[in-house]
Formats: sequence, C-alpha cells, structure tokens
Amino acid sequence: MLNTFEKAYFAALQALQRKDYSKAADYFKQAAPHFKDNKEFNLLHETTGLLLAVKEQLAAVDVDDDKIKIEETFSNG
Amino acid sequence: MSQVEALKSLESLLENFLERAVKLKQNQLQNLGGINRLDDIARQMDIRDDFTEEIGNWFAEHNPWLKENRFKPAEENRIQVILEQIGKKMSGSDLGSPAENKIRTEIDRWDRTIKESRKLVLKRGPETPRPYSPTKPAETTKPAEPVAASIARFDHTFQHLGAMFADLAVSRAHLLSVLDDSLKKAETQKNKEALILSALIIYYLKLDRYKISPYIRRLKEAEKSFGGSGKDA
Repeated sequence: MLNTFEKAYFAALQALQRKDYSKAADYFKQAAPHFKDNKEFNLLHETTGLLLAVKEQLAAVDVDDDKIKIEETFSNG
Repeated sequence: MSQVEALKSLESLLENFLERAVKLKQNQLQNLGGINRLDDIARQMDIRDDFTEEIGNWFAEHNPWLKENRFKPAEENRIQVILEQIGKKMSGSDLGSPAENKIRTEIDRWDRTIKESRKLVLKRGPETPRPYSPTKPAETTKPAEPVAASIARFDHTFQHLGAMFADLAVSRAHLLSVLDDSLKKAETQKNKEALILSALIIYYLKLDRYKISPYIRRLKEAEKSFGGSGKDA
C-alpha cells in the first residue's frame, strides 16, 4: 500500500503538472519528512518554494506601482 | 534590467525548469497515477458496494500497460502487494459473484505475468543459477523511532534498492560487475543506499561460496565515509 507521504509527493507532482504551485508546495511540505534524503524531491520542493517567493515579490511590486499611480492621480488632479 | 524584469525572468526560468522536470517524469507519473488509484480502490473496498466495477474498470484501463511491460520492478512490487490485499479482502467475503470471480482471474493473471517478466530478466544473467530466497530480517531492539516510521523508511529504501539494482544490472552480464558498480557508487558518491545494496550482494555471493574478501575490504572502506567504524561489515 502507498503511505500518506508517497501519496502527497504524487499529488505535488500532479499539482506541478497543472501549474498549481501553491498546492504543490503544500503537498511537498506534507511529504517532506519521508523524502528529506531524496535529492530530486528536495530540488523540486525548493524550486517550487523559490518560485512562489518570486511570485509573491512580483505581486508586491505590482501593488506598489498601483499605489504610486493612485497617489500621482490625486496630487495632480 | 529593472527589478521587475529580473523577477519576471527568474519566474519564467523556474516555471520552465519545473515544467521540464515534470515532463521527464511523465511516464512515471502515469504509472504512479494507476498505482495510486488501485490503492484507493483497495482502501475503499470495505465501504463501497461497487468496488468490483471499480476494479474491473482499473483492469480494463491498465491491461495494455502490463502488455507494454512499462512498469519498473518497484512499481510491479507495489501493484502485486495491492492486488494481494484486494484478493485477501475478497476471499474474506462470502460473495462469489461472477464479477468477483473474474477479478480473481485477473489478479492471478497479473501476478503470473509479472513473475514471468522477472524470470525473463533473470535468464539473461548466467551468474544467478539459484533463485534468490529472502531470509527473515533480524529483529532490532533499538527503540529510537516509532515502529511504523521505521517500517515505512525501510520499505522506501527497499524500493530504491530494487530500482538501483535494476539500473545497475541492465548493462551488466555478471552480478560481480553490478557489485563493482554499486561499490563505486558508494565510494565516490557517498551513496548510502548503494552501500546497503553492496552489502546485500556480498552476503548473497557469500552464501553462493564466491570469493568475497576483496569486496568486503572495499565495503569497509566505503562505510568509513558514512561515519561507520567499518569493523562489522
């Protein structure tokens, strides 16, 4: 029988296939205790985490840009 | 390059990497999907009335895969274990419907086909005149970790050993060559599983009265790099 960690790793890979990176990161986290010595697992886990961090950073930059535009509109308007 | 451009470039790079990595595992993912579904069916047998239909559908969908011989040894092991569980649960029930009998026949056929495909692999190697007979592992009294976790970890390692052996043996004509490759992997890559596989092969060869002392010396040397004393190898 497959254990819960293996099922979580499989679900993480399926989420990566769907490009659902947030879900993939959740499943990687669940599977991590069982695969901590697996280099391939760690690479995919870390890369997904890094990608999410980049996306978060990008979203923050976008929000900052919007704020500046609004402020400029008010100051000139 | 602005900060946003740099971040977008990195985002694209990482997405591409993950996409390609998953694509490389496409076949394995499909196989795992099939095994995972079979596992789910086996787990829900007790609470679902339509399990015969579910299993029947699984066989219908995956029979071509068996003919294609696309499963790795470790995956075949998984399927055999799950099918065995399904068979046991079915024999526990009093029902003997035609659908159940058909499933029993399919389970037997899968079991037979998997065993036959392994026999073919063994026939290629002239170095294995006697079939391997597993011995009961020694019991440990070390209470350092929960029993279930230690069993799961060993099971995981065991699956890896099977896959590693299959990879190493594919281009070799003699078990001693596989042992040599496995020891090199343990020595140069500090690969613990290769070390365990080497020890297993050495013990197997010892029982077959091969001269193993040079390999034991190498095993002891390799073991030192893992923090072991190298005395008990």
